[in-house]
Amino acid sequence: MKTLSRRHFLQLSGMGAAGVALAACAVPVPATDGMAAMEPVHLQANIAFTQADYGLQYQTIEKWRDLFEDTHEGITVELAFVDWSEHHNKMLVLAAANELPDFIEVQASRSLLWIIEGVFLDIDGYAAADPGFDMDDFFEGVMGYYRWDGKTFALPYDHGPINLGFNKTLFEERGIATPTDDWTFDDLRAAAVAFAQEEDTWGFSGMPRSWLLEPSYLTPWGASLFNEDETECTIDSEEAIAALQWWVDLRFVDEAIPNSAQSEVLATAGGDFVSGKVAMTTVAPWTAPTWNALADFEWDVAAWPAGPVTRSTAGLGSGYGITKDTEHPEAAWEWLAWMTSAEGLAFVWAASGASTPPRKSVFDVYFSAPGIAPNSQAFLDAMDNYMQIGRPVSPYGAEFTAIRNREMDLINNGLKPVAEAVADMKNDGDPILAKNRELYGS
Amino acid sequence: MSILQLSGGSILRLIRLFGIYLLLLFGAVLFTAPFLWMLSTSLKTPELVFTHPPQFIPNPVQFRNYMEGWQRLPFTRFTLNTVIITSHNAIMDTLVSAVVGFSFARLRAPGKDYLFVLVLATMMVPYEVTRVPLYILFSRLGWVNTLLPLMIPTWFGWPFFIFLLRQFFTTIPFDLDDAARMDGCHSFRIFVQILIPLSKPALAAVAIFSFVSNWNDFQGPLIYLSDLNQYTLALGLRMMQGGRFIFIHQVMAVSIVSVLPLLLIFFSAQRYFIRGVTLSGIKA
Amino acid sequence: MTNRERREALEFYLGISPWLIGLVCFTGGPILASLAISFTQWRLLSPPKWLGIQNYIDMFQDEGTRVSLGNTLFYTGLSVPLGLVTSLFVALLLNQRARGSTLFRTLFYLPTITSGVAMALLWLWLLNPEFGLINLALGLIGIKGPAWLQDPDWAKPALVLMSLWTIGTSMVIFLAGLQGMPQHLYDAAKIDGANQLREFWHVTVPMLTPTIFFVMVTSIIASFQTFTNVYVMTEGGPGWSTLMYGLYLYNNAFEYLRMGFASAMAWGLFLVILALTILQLLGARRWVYYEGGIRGRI
Repeated sequence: MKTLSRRHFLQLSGMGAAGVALAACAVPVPATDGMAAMEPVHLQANIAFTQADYGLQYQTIEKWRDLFEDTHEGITVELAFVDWSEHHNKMLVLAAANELPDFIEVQASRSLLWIIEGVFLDIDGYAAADPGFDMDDFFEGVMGYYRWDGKTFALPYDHGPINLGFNKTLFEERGIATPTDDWTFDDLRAAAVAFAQEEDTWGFSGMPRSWLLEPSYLTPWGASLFNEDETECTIDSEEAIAALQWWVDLRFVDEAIPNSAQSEVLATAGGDFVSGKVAMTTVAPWTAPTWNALADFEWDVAAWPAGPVTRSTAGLGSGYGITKDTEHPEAAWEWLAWMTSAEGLAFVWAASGASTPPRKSVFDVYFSAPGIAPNSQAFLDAMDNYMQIGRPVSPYGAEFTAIRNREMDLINNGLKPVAEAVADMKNDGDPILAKNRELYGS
Repeated sequence: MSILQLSGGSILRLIRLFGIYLLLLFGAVLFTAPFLWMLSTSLKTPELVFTHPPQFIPNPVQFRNYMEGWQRLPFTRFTLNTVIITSHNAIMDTLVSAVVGFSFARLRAPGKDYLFVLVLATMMVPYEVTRVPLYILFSRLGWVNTLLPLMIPTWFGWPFFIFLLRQFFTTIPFDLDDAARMDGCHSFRIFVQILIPLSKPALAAVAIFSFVSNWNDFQGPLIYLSDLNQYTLALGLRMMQGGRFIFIHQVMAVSIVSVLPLLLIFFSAQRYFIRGVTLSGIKA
Repeated sequence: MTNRERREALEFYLGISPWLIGLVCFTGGPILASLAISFTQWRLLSPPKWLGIQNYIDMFQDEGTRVSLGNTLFYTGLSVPLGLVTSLFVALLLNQRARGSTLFRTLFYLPTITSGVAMALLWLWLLNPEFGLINLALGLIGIKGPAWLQDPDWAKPALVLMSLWTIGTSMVIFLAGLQGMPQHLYDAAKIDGANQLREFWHVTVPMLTPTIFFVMVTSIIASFQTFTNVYVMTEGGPGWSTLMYGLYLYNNAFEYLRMGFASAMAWGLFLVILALTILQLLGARRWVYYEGGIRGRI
């Protein structure tokens, strides 16, 4: 296979013959400064925009940027806020045009894919040379999303595990003991079934799906979605079938989980949980402010229950990285370190209570933030002990998700027997995953 | 042709009228429901947005959602940007597509049919696969981070509108052109003096479509802009909904405000939809 | 060519020059570029690799492409004629000076301009198998309604039903068409003693055929590219029952980073739509009536 040179291809693809002529007449872009050390440096930073709290998050980031410019003479940072749900798409377009800004946000669910495709600069050297920067303060489980091949390519700014949220008021009304951090799935099932005895109330909401599938729903039963390097699907194992069947039974035999029709109605009521009709569900730290605003009952958080084999839960968040082709890597590192330092994370994120911080030392600030969950300690425990990254992370994993979603959809709606669906998932998925072998050179 | 135009027994006519209004009313309720839901949600307190069963008339009514939603982002600035882009585009779309549509409908030239198929063909390639090359092109022209990529393309006519106006111009009898040509008129005068006045409903339709689609477009601004001061209403609304938290009562309040200008324009453009011009007097 | 013909041809090319310039400078390049990309493997984040016709070969063996094309054909086959008839019917009802017609037109146009979130939530309410208004109404006349969006067999018909909600654009086009009708034809029909039905079939319908033709051609093009509804409401499920060609293409381009494959899919679709449109253009000569007479072959 012949690889076109990037510049050549861009010229080819970007314009027809006349487009080239037009571009030739266009005003030339001013030459960028070669003497970075002496000349003022201007960085471009793209940040995904979230309405993260009740305040105006983007203004907080702008304030932190102003402080940076005040303390770092000669460096200016131009911020671009991109709609969160479209951030990935816009970055793909910019990457394809070879025009990524110096500094970009990356969501954990795509981080390794972008890293493997070579978007980011390896920052270990800069971090090691920066005595003020404490790399070990980040939770090890979080860094799994930002390290590849023994090198670090991005740093997280927020990260949250997925725990068990429960409607405390409802538990107390029914006289059922509330979940504790040492619950197993048997305890969850017993309580869920007890709630379902009453009409129009359900014990739990949330079926095995998306990136939660493996860490939250398979690992506790000793099952897995893929082998180690994601070259083969392993969901047809006995353990995996048993785990998925457990949830299908809880939904269709015990009727303790609302079915799709019921769930849809509750969704128009702000989600199963906020409606007050469901006793337990999955909860992430970033859900807390919304629940505090919308729920008219008391709620709390416990650890995600332990399965027959082990305790494991999923975690997700976002980070920042420096793009490989930046002309100002040193300045970009200064800015990255500024944004992901303990002070930066506390100032921009933790103080708002928008999400749990990826650094241990910032949790004190988070714990005193407004709008967080009553038992936020459960999030810290999970981060520290049993949080796992969600897969797939490999380049061809994304293609596999189409097949995973198709079959999980059928399983979760009772439209296909578990054993048959997982066999199809493996059958259709393996040829796609096999392409990952190139990555591992085997 | 109007179903209501009816001679005969007035009782029969009344029953029929009643039936039509009943049908319209039923349809209108069905078609207005999402809007009414938005309106209702925009006036609720956050706790009442999601009650089960839902509450249709908000109580208490909370008007400050509008103020608070509006202040969440620089929406006044966004509105100004949107108005600039949208009015420019609506005018250019209508003008240019009318000229091109006229040429395809009323003039003869070798190769015309093939070119017309080419007009249609450009509508058939999905935007997803031309998005990246188009971005690269605009970027090489130095237009990224300006409003130009969102405005300049309307100077060249939009295939959908060209086709639409071509169809309308084709329904107008040619005797008029021929008579005018005999008098020594050139095509441009025929276009301005005969066709434009006769095609007001179609031109109004194009102007409305252009206005609405540009007003609601967030993909273009998303890709080409990165300075908050240049963002548009649709992009701002999208940003309010994106991410992990939804302040749906405020989102709906801003949505209502952003839909109102469209409603106003559609409502007022209706005067061009009343059959005012007839050809009968000119020539048959 | 006579002098007059030459002048007319010149005026034609002058008239279409904005579009021609736009094609050469802006639209044409990216379209041709997408054709070039379809012969590569391009993961967007890294440079493309030349593949030749491999994407096209893969496309014919790809299950997702096959399933999504089938779904799209089914959806188009139902939604285009239904949408055409419904929007024409509503336009006819609203084409009058009667009291309130301006208001009603505005109301029927509303869903076309309102936010997707409100629409999605409302449809969940209407189509819900157990609690939805539609199945409640069916229950009243003794029919047990299907599970709609949750049933692989009924999810596509449910999407067709939803598509009828946004007939606003076609309705406005038909209204414009109805308004442009020459009054003298109706006067003549009246003198001939035609009743309303005859008037409708012999005056209104023939005069409206250019508009009907337009709505038909453009709805088919749009329907083959349908994306937003499935992206927001079903994400292609349950199973792949609502995986539309447009959605699968989008996923390939921006989720699976197979821009080359997605481009091949786009060009495959292009050929299908182009063939269909040319067939329609040729067929139009039999049934589309241009009062002005046609100056060209199509």
